[in-house]
Amino acid sequence: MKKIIFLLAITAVLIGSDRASAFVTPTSSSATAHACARIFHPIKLTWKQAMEFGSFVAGSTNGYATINATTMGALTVTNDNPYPITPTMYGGAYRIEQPAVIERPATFKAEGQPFWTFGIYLPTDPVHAAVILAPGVNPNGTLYDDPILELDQFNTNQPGSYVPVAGDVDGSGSPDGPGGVPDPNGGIGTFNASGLRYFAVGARVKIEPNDRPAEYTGEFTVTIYYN
Amino acid sequence: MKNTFLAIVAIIAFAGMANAQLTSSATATANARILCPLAITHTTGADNELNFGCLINNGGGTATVTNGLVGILSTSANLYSYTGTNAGCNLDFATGAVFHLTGEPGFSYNAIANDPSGAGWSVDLNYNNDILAGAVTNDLSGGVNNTVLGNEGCSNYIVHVGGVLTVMPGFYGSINSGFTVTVQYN
Repeated sequence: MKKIIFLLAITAVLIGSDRASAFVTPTSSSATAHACARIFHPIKLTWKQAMEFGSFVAGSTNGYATINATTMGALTVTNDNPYPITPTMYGGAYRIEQPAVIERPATFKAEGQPFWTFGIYLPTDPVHAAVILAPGVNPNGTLYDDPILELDQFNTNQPGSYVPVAGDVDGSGSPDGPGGVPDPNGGIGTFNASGLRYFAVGARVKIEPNDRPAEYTGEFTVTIYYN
Repeated sequence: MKNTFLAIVAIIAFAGMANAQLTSSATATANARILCPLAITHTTGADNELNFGCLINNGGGTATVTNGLVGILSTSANLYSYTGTNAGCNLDFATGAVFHLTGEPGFSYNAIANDPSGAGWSVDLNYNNDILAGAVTNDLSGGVNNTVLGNEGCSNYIVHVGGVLTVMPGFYGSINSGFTVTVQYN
């Protein structure tokens, strides 16, 4: 009798367990990973002051006047306006101090991620400052040249910028002969702890004998980029 | 005496005949099935985390890392991927998170995780059991997914987790937030 009862019990258990099958496994599990990112400030450039070469009288040969931003060092900033202390001019043509014009480089304000470095790209092709006037005749009876002044050799006061050659009156690139090609790179700037950097841009202007007496104005583009 | 003996023999004989009619035997079977355990693991490491890399925030936007074999980064307007040398960003690559999964071939499971978020940012997680042909993207916080395992054996499944990072205008800083993926047999 005992044997019969035992066999019946086993059968009942097996039948009641889903067709005589049994599961042995954990049913859930967890693991942890991380989501990561680093978010930084955008870069921004604002023009603050115009480049001023002053006044000249054309000579009998080509003359050059250069604003060398590489030698002026730090700028003075007052009310978010940067000013050079002492810009440097080189000879060429005939400078006239009337009307009184303070020669100075163009200045810019750069904003970005604190302590990051950025590259400055200056124009490599000559930029023309033009006067929109009808062609006329100079007092000597010859036609004026096209009313433009040509600017080149752009430079900045940031490390690595092109350095204009001292005494390069004839535009050869060096006092003694042919010089190198101006470096198109305007140097490398570094943002301070506030994410700011003011910098200056100089250039060289050519004044030709038949350039028309007038006030000349032009535009040039400066680009900055994160390294 | 002889009659008594015969009577005893008869009684014994009849008793034997009666026991045979009261017993019977049959054979049954007992079965058991051992399944591959469902388990998910993650190995900590730069290549195994969900990483959106270095981003420049110029007015807010979204960045997406896909959940395939190789996490691919894309960004919306006003949010830019930066891979320059500042802050070592040239070595900070976008990657998807990688988990290893064991489970029973042919069985289905559900995966869920809480989307990480903070002041100015949030991440919408999704995953793909990409060992399956034609597997679709599943939202990790969206409830039951019913992902079906293939026939690769117990322990050869890889789950890739990608996501969409949303950054608000004016948010700058580092994000490093943990998220836990839980899997369960359906």
